[in-house]
Amino acid sequence: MTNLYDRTTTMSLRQQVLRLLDRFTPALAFVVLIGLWEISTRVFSIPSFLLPAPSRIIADGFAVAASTWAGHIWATMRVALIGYLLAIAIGIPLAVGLAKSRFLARTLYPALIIIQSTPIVAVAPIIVVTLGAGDLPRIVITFLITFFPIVVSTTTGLLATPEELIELSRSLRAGTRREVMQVRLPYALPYIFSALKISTTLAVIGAVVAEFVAADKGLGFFISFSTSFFKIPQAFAGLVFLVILSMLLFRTVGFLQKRFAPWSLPKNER
Amino acid sequence: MNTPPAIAFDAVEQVFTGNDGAPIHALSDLTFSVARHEFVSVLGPSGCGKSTLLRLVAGLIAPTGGSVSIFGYPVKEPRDEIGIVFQKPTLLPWYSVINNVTFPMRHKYGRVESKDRARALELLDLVGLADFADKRIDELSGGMQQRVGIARALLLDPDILLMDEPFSALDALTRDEMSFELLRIWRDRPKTVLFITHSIPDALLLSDRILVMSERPGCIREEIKVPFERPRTLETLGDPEFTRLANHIRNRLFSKPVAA
Ligand SMILES: Nc1ncnc2c1ncn2[C@@H]1O[C@H](COP(=O)(O)OP(=O)(O)O)[C@@H](O)[C@H]1O
Ligand SMILES: [Mg+2]
Repeated sequence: MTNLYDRTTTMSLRQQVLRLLDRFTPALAFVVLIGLWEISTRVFSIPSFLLPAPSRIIADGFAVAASTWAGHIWATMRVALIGYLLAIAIGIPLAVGLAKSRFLARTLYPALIIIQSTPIVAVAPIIVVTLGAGDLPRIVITFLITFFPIVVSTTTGLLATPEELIELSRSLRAGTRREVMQVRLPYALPYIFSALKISTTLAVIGAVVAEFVAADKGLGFFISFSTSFFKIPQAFAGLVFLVILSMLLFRTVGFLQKRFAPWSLPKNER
Repeated sequence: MNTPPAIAFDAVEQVFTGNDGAPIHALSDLTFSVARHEFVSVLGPSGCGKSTLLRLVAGLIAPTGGSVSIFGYPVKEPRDEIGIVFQKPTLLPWYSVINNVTFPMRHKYGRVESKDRARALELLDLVGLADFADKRIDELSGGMQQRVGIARALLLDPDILLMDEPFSALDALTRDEMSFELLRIWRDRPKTVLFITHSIPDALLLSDRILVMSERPGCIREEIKVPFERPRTLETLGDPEFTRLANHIRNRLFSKPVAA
């Protein structure tokens, strides 16, 4: 009996270790990767302007005052967020229009395709010249980059609503407004959320691209400024903050979806 | 003192335009009527226009010829007298079970009052789901979901219940169980039922009358009065007359029309 008892406890102990390992595998892999990076820069004495060691990036990052960082981060985040929210505020109603009106679809879709086919990065300098200094041109550039996936996904979702549900709505003579608000839009939520997640990254890209073109603040500005003075480790530190910012926005949208529309997630992610 | 039938089709024609622009003649010279509180099944090959027939009754489409009327009035638009149960349950996954049942109220009037909730609970009790009111839709089996669909269709207390192959997505055992459930519900809440099905036994077990349709363009090939006493039970299924009628209908469904 004692034998059996021992065996079950060791089994569960082993399982526990395995489970812990499984849980921390991503973090572990990350730490190992950073370690390898650090070691190889030292072993092969890679110059810091080619690939700075993680320790050097951290040190140079700390050399910049916290308030300076905060200013740059805030500038980029502000532009990314405003452009993103604007894209949602305009993109979703527009998608409703495109899904409900053949006329709108026929007139606006070609224009949308043209906007999407235009490399926004190439247009950015023109937009900056046209719209002048300040946040406005940067917000417009961010908006243009994030807007298209939101419109396309939302329209697709609105049109994917099962025909029977639409017939149910029509049989109740509920009207177009309720059909959209109570049936089509909720049904499109999984599509909308996947576009919103992709667009967070695009929003940060948009803000940074705009800052490359013209800005005196922001992480994009900071990176291009640092590289022009060959402060490569410092530029890398700026990049780290950009990655964190992107991930934070992405996670926030994921959290909101889980909190307010768990049914719109695949079963294993609820 | 002739009361008008609950549903009446008079020489109804339905022609659709296909994707290639060619006309699709779905229904041709369709004439039949259904009396109040009668249970009528429609049997016919796939694509013969059964769902089209049901959409015409629901007022979701208008006939290209002839007339469709409900209680003597021509159907011009969807009406409150009608509840629909679809082939798939088509419930809303973002609502709980009870909120799915009260959905017609919320959708039509924009609000749900406590008496509507009470009525929904009563209906859930009727379909045997009293304990599931607050469950999420994905916690229910296919059969249970279809029961929720039936409860939802009954919420506005329609005189006419339209059912489009409601059990065809269910497994055979659940389907038999649901058929008897439907008989019980219909006994408790008499309604005019137009029941579209692929299943000859279901049609024989449930209906007062069966309309057998021809291939497209669909018309009534034969009308069969179902003679079995109610309440019908498992014994009904074993009745020799049941087997005879089932064979007869099968032959009618598969034989080609004599003259085209
Ligand atoms: N809105 C529509 N537009 C074009 N063709 C249609 C439409 N609705 C139905 N049809 C055609 O009419 C025929 C009958 O369809 P339906 O009533 O769904 O058949 P059933 O329900 O008996 O299988 C089919 O050939 C179908 O393709
Ligand atoms: Mg059908």
